[in-house]
Amino acid sequence: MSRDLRSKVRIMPQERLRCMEAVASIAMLELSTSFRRHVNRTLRDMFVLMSTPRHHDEAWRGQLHDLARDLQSVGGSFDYGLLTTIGEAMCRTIRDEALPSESGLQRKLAAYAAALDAIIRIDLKGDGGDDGRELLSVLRIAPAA
Amino acid sequence: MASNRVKAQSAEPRVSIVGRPLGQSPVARRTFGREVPALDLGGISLLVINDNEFVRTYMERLFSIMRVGRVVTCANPRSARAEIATVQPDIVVIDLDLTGMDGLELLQDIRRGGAGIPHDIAILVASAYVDRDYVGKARDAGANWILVKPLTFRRLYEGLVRVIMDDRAFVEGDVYVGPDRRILVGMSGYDGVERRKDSRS
Repeated sequence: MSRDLRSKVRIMPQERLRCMEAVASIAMLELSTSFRRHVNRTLRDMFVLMSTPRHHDEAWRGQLHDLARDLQSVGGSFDYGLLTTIGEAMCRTIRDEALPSESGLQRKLAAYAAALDAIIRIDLKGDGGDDGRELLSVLRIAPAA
Repeated sequence: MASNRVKAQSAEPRVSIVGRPLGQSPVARRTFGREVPALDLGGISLLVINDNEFVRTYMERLFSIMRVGRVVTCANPRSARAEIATVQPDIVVIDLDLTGMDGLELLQDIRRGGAGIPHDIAILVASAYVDRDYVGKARDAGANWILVKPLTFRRLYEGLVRVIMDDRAFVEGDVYVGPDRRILVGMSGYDGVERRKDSRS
């Protein structure tokens, strides 16, 4: 397998790789700004959607699910692991048809959305350390493996 | 893509990853030490499967900085399935956190030869988790390497290098098709540990 693949690559000087990394770190600054803009826009859409809750409406739940899933995805890729963990829990909650009551669902989703917003506001990266553990404990979400 | 390869190869004499001229000596197991080898990826084509547009754009940007020869992106395993035979990538990069079971089915299809590309193609899986069931399933579906997020330049680059340099035997059994799972770290130069010397895959 890899012999064919290896015939397509060549060793290059480490210096070139270091240059690429330097370019990437500059690009990351720009991408971080885009990331924050993207997450803030997604959160805004989420709060707008939740301001007119229709928990029994499948289309409404679908829209909310897509927004939570978006945050779940970008969070992991950009070292905001808590966005991923909470976004995933939110997706699961939205998909869960067996929730005991509409008010329970509403409370849970509102708490998740507020937590997602807080993570970005206070820039809680990675697993968030003690703050992250506390946040997950309040939300009753098991920390990610 | 073809023009990129010609361009990349014309810049310097072609040498293998062990520094020998290609064609003169087989690439053997070797040790990098702590430094990941710097590879010119201009001759490599990637198929990236990720259902988040923002992340796809981000990855494309990083791969372009790495000067990967060609990058084709797909939003989901279904569209990838439709395009993969035409694209004929060298490496498939798939995010299993989002594609979930569809992604695993695609991996299995590739390994079983049902995707219209060589079944021993290199497959790099990205995941935010290291312990989840589906990471084990990705390994059992025949992934070469599982890349733990966040997706930084360094991690993506090392992930590509790992699958390029993966010199494990390719196992084709009734139950499992993919790189030999007995090697814990399956990459040249990284000390793989044979966990089950008596087992077959």
